Amino acid sequence: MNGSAKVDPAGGVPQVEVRFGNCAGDFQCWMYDAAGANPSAYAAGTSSSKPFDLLKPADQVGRALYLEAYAGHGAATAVSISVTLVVKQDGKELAVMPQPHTLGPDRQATFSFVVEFTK
Amino acid sequence: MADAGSSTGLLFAAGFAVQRVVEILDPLFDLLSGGDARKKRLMAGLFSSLCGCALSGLGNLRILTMMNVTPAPAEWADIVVTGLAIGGGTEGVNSLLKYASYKKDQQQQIAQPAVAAPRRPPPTLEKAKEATGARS
Repeated sequence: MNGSAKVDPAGGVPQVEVRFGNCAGDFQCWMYDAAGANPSAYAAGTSSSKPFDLLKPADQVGRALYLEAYAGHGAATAVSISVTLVVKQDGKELAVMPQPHTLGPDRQATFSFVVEFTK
Repeated sequence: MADAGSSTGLLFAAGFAVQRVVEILDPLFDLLSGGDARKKRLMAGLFSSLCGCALSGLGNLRILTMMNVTPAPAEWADIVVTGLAIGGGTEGVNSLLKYASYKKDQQQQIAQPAVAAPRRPPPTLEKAKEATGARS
């Protein structure tokens, strides 16, 4: 899922929260440079991690991140799960990107997101 | 040979049928063995195994082939093993199928890589945009 977040250059440091719905898992996040290349590992966490900070607004604008979440469930039946990426700044949600998916019994899925930051 | 699903059903049906026939013929075995329990058990066992082999041969049921045993067994050996399993009634068939399922699970676990491949992002933002979504 692709999206964008409009960051206030005068605001606080934006944050990213990864919400796992009806499932558990982990995620990894890479940041691209201003030219949209050379991804570098930026953050990683699990379904119980707290939101992580991005770069300062001035540095974050014009860049993009790629986040992959790996989620699963242990139920013996098919389950509807979701992973939602939320970009926040000063408590305000700048972007909410929900990705639902129905998983078969005892299976895992990969959810990937791209967020571009503008001002 | 029938497909795996219908073969499993046929094996159970054959095992159940043999079990029922032995139960029905129980008084006859009593009579022929003269009340000797060991003789009776031997007769019933031989009879049910022969019935199992006959059903295996005529019904084209091959439990070793179903289990993908390597190297492939001789057909007569497959018929004898299947016959003995059918002769054991539903319990015999059940035990063998449980073993087959266990072996299959074990082979699948071996086939999986021990270490997950390292996670890598798409090299450019453009490629990343194309790659996003949910997949299982």
